Amino acid sequence: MPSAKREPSRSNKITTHSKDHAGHIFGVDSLPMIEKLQQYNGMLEKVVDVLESQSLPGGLHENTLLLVMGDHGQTINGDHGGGSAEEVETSIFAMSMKKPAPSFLWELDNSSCRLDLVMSRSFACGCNSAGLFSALSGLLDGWCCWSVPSREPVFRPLQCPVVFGSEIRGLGYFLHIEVARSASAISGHQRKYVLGLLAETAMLGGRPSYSSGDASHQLCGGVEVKVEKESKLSRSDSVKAKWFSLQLKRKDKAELDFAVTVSALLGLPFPFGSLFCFSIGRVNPVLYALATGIWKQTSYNVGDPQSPSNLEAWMQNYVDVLCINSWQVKKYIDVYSASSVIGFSNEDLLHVAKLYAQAEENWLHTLNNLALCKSGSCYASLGSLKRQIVLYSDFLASVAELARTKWTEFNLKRMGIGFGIMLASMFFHLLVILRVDKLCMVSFTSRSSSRISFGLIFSCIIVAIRAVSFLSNSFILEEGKVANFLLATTGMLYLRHSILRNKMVLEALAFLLLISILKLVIELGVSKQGVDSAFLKMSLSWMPCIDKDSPFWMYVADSIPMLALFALNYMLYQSIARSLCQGISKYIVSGTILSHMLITVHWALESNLLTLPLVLKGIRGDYIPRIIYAIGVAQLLSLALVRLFEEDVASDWEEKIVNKTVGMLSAWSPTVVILSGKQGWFIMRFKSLKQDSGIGTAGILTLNTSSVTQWSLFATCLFFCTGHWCAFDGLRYGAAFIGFDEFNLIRQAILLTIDTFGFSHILPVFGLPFLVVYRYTFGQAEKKKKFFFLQLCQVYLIYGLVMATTVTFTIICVALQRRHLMVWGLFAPKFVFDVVGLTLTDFMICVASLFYFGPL
Amino acid sequence: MERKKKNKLVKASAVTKSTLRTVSPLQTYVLHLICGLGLASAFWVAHNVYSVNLIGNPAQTLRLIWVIEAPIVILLYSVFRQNPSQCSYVKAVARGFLALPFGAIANALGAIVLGAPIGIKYFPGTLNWSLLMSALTFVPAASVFGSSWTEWHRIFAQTKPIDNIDYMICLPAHGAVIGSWFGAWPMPLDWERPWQEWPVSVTYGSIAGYLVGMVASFGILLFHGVRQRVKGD
Repeated sequence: MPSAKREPSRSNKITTHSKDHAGHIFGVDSLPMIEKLQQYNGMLEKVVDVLESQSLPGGLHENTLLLVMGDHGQTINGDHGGGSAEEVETSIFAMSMKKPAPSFLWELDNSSCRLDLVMSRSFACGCNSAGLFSALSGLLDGWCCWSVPSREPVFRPLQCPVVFGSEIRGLGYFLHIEVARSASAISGHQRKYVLGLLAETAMLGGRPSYSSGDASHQLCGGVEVKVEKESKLSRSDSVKAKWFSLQLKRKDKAELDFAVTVSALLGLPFPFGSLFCFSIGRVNPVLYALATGIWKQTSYNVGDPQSPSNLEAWMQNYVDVLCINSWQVKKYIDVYSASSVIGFSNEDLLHVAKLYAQAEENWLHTLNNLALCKSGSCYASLGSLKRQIVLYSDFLASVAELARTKWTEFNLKRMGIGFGIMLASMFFHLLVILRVDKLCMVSFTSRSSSRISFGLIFSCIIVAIRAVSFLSNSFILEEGKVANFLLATTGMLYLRHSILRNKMVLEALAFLLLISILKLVIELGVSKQGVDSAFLKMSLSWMPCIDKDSPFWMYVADSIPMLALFALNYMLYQSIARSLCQGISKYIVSGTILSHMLITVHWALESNLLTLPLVLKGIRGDYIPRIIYAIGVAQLLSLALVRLFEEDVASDWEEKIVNKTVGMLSAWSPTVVILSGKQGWFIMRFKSLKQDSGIGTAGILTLNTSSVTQWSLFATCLFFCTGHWCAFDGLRYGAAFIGFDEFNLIRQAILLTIDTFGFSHILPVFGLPFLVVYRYTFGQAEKKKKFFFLQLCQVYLIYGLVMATTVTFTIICVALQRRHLMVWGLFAPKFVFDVVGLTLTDFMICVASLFYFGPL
Repeated sequence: MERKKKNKLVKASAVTKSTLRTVSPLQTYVLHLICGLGLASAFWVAHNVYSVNLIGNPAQTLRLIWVIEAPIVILLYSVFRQNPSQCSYVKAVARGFLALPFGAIANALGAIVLGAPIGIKYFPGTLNWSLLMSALTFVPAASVFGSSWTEWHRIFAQTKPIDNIDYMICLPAHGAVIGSWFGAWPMPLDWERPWQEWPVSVTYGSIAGYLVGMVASFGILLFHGVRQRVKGD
């Protein structure tokens, strides 16, 4: 408002979002939405008043063009981003302070029965009301009066908010009004709307009444509005402002064309290449005419709109603009198809090029004509100008169509194939699981009872809930919390179970404690900050009196991860001391302990806990991480070598499996830990991972499924607790450069992958044998071994199935939401993360199977 | 959910087998009716006398509800206490009141493990919600069974209700817990409705589950026949 009163700059823009917000939250029909609309009504009226008051010749706003438009529509529920008409179509209000635009506007789109130009203000509500939405409300009032014959049919814009409010649904349709224009009249088809309105008010038998407001405003035939053009024009002499409500489609009209049209008006270069769709728009004739009508004409005679010189000058101008427009679009298409990997097909390009050549040729012809015409009569070129416009329009329309098919549509066939593969893989998983189950049954008849156990059903339900929750974008956003909720539920049931059996209660309680810690960390991690500061914040929120920058708390925050690491080292040391690990595993575990020590030193150096001499600081950067990587690789290699050359001793296979698992985990852990940085929390978690496995091992009493489900949920929670989330900005790029300063694509990609998926995908897969190894202690050794490997096989299969199920539902969700506004912000990253995770998991399962499964 | 935790808090003790008061379907009906009416009247009082509601002022409303509901539950269920010859009515009432905070702790812990928000801001809501949950799940069992570990174990861990009073305790309690579990599901949705806040939807869920549980318990007793506990069972 203040800026409207001041000297206007060349172009001003005000953006508001609250209406969109209100629509999202409360829906289109709701009271807050109506209030918001009315608020905008008032605002617009004020703006228009100010503009009108200064729109006299010589006034500040003599040449001002007011555009009010939405960037998208919305459904009745307030959603948008989809492909339906009500979402992609939006309305635009254009108001020029000049005399009305010439009627040759009407001539331009003669070919199409659906005009961009919907109605003028005089058409809608007479000339006595000011305000932008008065056109709307006046029309709605008119319809109200129409359907209630007894009521005095007077236009009272903005005076019946209830009617206005209750007809918001009609407003949506109003914006979709189908308007056709003949030479003598404009016809607005609102058959559907009016019939709906009549049905709603049970007035289907009513007869039309004529509004007293305006003789020219006839509501005839029940479904059509006809306004005599002559009367409109004659009356509009008295109207300073001219209203146009343009109906534009976003995809092929509104935003596409809007950008070029406005830039043509403002004399700016057309947008090129910054956004695909903005580069191929067509200068909208009506909008252009409206605005150029202002700027070109100084002494414009409304009563004689057909003035040939005016008309021709305008058309000439428009053709010039279209020529530049087309040339640019053609160039853009050429550049695009030259540089893009998957460009347009050849025949499409040929077709477009042919159209362009045709238009160019014709334009040359027209120019020749025009040159002739300069000497003689100019009327002759009018038809050719029109033809020229049609040609350019055809070219632009075909380019837009081509671009729409290529850029905005997905390859449904490939999507179907991918989905089919996922389904097939799930089916295959199920088949193999059942087959293995049968094998188990054959070898161990004792377990044949209660195949459909509570645990099986429950885990199926949990997996189903988790999978189905991916169909909602809210649940995708809150995936960590949802997984934690489900995990806690399984933990509770597990506690109940252990109380029922009166054993392992302590472990179950510890598991619950672990889950609550996980939950806490996830909540803190959601704030998109490092765990360090989150930890600080947490301690601050507990003890608000403590200064944030006080060195003591920094010190505590720095040292807690190290303490956790020491605790882990102690556990590992104990496992060596207990001689749980023998032979090569012992060396590997000691290597891990060494790595952990090194990590501690590294952190201490980084965090400036200790003031070190400069000599030591020289080393601090890269060497320690590299040593740790080297140790990790050496551990893995030695494990693989041992795997190759070991002789098969059947007696102690169980311990060997444990040793292998511990060795594998400890070989991986230092690398992952150092990459994950100082998030000391999940070192605790890693510790408790083992603890958990201790629970899992002895406690599984039903089929494997429930524990495997629990395990996979646990893995998901780990993903979120380690400060990741399913978006590309959730990747911790810093992790890729720990130990290396220079960029090397493959090396850094590997490091980043290990960081992202290390705790959530790699370690759980290698830790899975813990679930099985302690379970069965009956039977003879040989049989037991076979059974164990069958079980392990089954566990891996179930784990794969759980992953595949969730990924399949993610795929369904992404496929369904591919038109969603947030598809690139939310669904596509989720899809990529899930698919990469699934691939990695499957790969790791293969590696782990090679590693664990001895020759049977 | 939370029901497993409850058992931890009750010390195991020997149970003396004795006769139990038989409960007729009519008594069940009256008890459940009064409990339900108690809830309804609590809502009425909150709405009309104090003019607070669950969405606007969850903590105050929840406090009102449990302050009204807990005495009703305790007084009613104490009538059906186990071996009434050794345990006076007053004692049953007393242990009911004693169980209220313990049950609240158990419920609050369960809720926090499941993801209830922590913080000063949410503390009143969590406290009052868990007290209400305690009144719906924990207190009846405490009034009836006292600290009998085997009975608690049987009701909540094994879920094996045998006679009428078992059903009357077990089903509403499980209903409330399962209801609150389901009540938590709308919370992550981005509808930004005020009832999606922490204790509100969960409270609705638990009350709905409790009512369903009461109806189910009455229905089972009515249609399944009245099975009296055999002496020395």
